Amino acid sequence: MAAKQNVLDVRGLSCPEPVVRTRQALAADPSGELVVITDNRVSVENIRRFVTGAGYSFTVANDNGDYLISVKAKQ
Amino acid sequence: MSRRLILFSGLLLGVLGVVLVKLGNPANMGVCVACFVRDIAGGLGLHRAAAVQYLRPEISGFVLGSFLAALYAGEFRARGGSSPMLRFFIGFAVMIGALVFLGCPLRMVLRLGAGDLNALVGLIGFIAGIGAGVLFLQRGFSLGRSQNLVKANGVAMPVLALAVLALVVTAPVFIFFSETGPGSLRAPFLISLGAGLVIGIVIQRSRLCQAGAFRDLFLLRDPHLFYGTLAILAGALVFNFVFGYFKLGFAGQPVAHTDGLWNFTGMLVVGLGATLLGGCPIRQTVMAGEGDADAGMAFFGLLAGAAFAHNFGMASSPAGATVAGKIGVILALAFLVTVGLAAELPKTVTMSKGGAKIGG
Repeated sequence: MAAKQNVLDVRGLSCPEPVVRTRQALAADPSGELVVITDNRVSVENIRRFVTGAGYSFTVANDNGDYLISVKAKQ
Repeated sequence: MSRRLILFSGLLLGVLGVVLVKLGNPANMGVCVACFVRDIAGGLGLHRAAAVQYLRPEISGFVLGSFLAALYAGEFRARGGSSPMLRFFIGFAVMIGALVFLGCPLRMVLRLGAGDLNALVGLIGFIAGIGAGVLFLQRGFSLGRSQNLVKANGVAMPVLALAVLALVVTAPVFIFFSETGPGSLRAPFLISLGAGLVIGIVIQRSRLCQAGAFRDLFLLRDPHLFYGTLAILAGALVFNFVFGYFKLGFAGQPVAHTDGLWNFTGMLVVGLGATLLGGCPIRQTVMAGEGDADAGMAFFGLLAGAAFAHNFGMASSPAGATVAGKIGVILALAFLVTVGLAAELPKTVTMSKGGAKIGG
């Protein structure tokens, strides 16, 4: 059984809402894995800067024009 | 890489902001989105302030440069539908604030780089406005989601930018060109256009934003964009010293007034409005070139705000803020606070395994 995975859909939200929502989601559940779905590269860059600065791991995959960002607490 | 890009972007903007003055643009106004959009409103005859009428090619350059850079990078995407009407009026309010202060956030930094201490008062107001905007963001302010639109929505702004350039070149009788005052001071057309294109390209790539600089610092403790603002200041400072433009003080600064309360309040409105929009005027202009029709609506709000500001006597002059301008700024502030409080948190869906939770 995989660890609990939260999914946050921030597609269409303008800067800086995606990163604000990401921060709130991580604050609500800091240990779980979070997948953030966004549709623009600026949000990906902002979220990457924030989560790596906050000590999380960050990976991103492209899915038909959307970006699936996986954020995990570092072990 | 991205750190170097934001620093380069800021330095370039600071340096070009001074070099364009050397080449003919008004003092401390090498690049200013509020002033130049105001000049365009005048050039189109939307207001009749004879001293500030010229279809500034820099603005077309920002839009077209951004359009080309976004196309090249695969980032051009026609999108919109996130409160377009509200964005128009927020843009309108931002312009009222900017014309009471006499400059957008970019010109504020360029003025600071030339020793104009009135800009420091404006900066404090700008930061206070961003602080207020951050509070709204933290309590869930949102203008809602945008969605993909048919491509024509995204191409409209670049086409309009080309049309404006055509009007400057052909100079038909219905287009106004100032013969005296700031509107008559202009760098050569091709240099203005070239500088605008380069700035548009660079900002599209670096995402430089004056409102974002302080917003991210407060909200996320992220100094990335702030380095861009520091770099603009550094570039402008050095070149103002090189050209002998630097003059420290409050009085006698070019196209500026010393009315501290209204310098502060004007930029307070700009800081709050830009934070609610998600970016400062130059960032909105660049995003409009990338296909963002919502940013395009904010741009048209700036244009309409400029026309009304001059038609209703709200724009300041070196003599100071006007009564109409003070009333306009207070109304703009009341409007922005109302929007900040009223715009609702959209329902974002957070799904956990075994169910979906609405909210957050």
